[in-house]
Amino acid sequence: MTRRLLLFFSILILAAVLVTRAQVLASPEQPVAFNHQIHAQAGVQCLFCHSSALRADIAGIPSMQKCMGCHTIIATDNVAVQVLTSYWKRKEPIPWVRVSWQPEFVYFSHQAHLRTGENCETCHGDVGRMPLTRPAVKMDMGWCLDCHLLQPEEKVVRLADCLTCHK
Amino acid sequence: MVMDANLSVETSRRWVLVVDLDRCTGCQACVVACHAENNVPVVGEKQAGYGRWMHWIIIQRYWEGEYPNVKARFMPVMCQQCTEAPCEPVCPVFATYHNEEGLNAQIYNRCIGTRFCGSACPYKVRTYNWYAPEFPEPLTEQLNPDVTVRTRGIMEKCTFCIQRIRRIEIDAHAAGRIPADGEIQPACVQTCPSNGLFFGNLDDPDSQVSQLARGRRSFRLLPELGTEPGVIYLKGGETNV
Repeated sequence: MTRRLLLFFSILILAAVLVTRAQVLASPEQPVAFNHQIHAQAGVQCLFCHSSALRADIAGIPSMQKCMGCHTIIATDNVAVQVLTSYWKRKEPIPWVRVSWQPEFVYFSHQAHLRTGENCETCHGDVGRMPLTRPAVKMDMGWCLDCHLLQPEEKVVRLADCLTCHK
Repeated sequence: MVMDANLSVETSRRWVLVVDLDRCTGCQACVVACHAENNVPVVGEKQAGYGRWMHWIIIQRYWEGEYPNVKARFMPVMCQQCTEAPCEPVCPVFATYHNEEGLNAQIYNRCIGTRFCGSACPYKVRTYNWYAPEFPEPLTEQLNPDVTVRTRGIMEKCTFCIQRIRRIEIDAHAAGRIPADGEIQPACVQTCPSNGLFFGNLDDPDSQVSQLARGRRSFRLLPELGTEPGVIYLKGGETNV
């Protein structure tokens, strides 16, 4: 009896862990079915749209103006583009749902990371092959430290300091 | 990239704040600036009466002399960022610790609110969130995104505006240089109308704070405790405040 109970609870816990993980790594539903894959295949660089990444903390979401700069002409028969255009005509911003995020007590700078030669893919996964954008990893503190602790010894002191990332 | 091999990240730093008491007029502009920069809540008159104010800087007032020749002297007291901080060893969860830059850090999401650190602090500059912070509209629009809005039940205190230090360092680093002396300014230093506050690196012997710290007027608060504070006060001349 005890053994069966134990088995039952282990399966329950395992299922809960798997469900949570699947939820964390699921792609959130977006107001516009934006496809990173198509854009990457068309040769659009990450930094063309997320242009603040090199010089600011946040990478930034492109403005509607940037979207419409191309999409007044390109792929106007696409359903997603038509949804985009309808937002543009109504003069409403698109309420994008954040995919990768940090809790509010965490300080993160894209600028500082790109300067050290990191690629977008290191943290965000192969977004260029994601029709629907989803988080590639669970961005928790252990995952940050996995990389920070592997840096040269003289930098680890600083990179493992709580105040470097906590605010 | 290789350019950061010899830059600021590896140079030694000991951040200090110099407070010139001969210049302080007790105007409390630093307190206001601190509230705005660091999302410090206001608890109201009643709670302040219980000693639950949240100011990270407290302007202490002293009367000097006998009537009718009385003078008011002011002393801004903020976290002294002690080298041997009494608050650090008492924290059961290591929410407060000492970092390489000589800063006494408080990691908010780790704090469980035992308030041991507040009891151990001889300067009484740590404040506790007795209630969830309230920022009436439209004040929520001016909250600093670089600083956590602390929740109920945790300790907080002056950080020397770590978010500003970090910002300047990252920007300077990107430009391939080290931050110049005086470039990093905490909100209080930037605001002080009588230029009575100075911030800089004590490990750099040529910095303005090092020169002021070597001066005859410099002293530290409660030096007999051996806490070796990172806030250096200057007092010497007469003032007519």
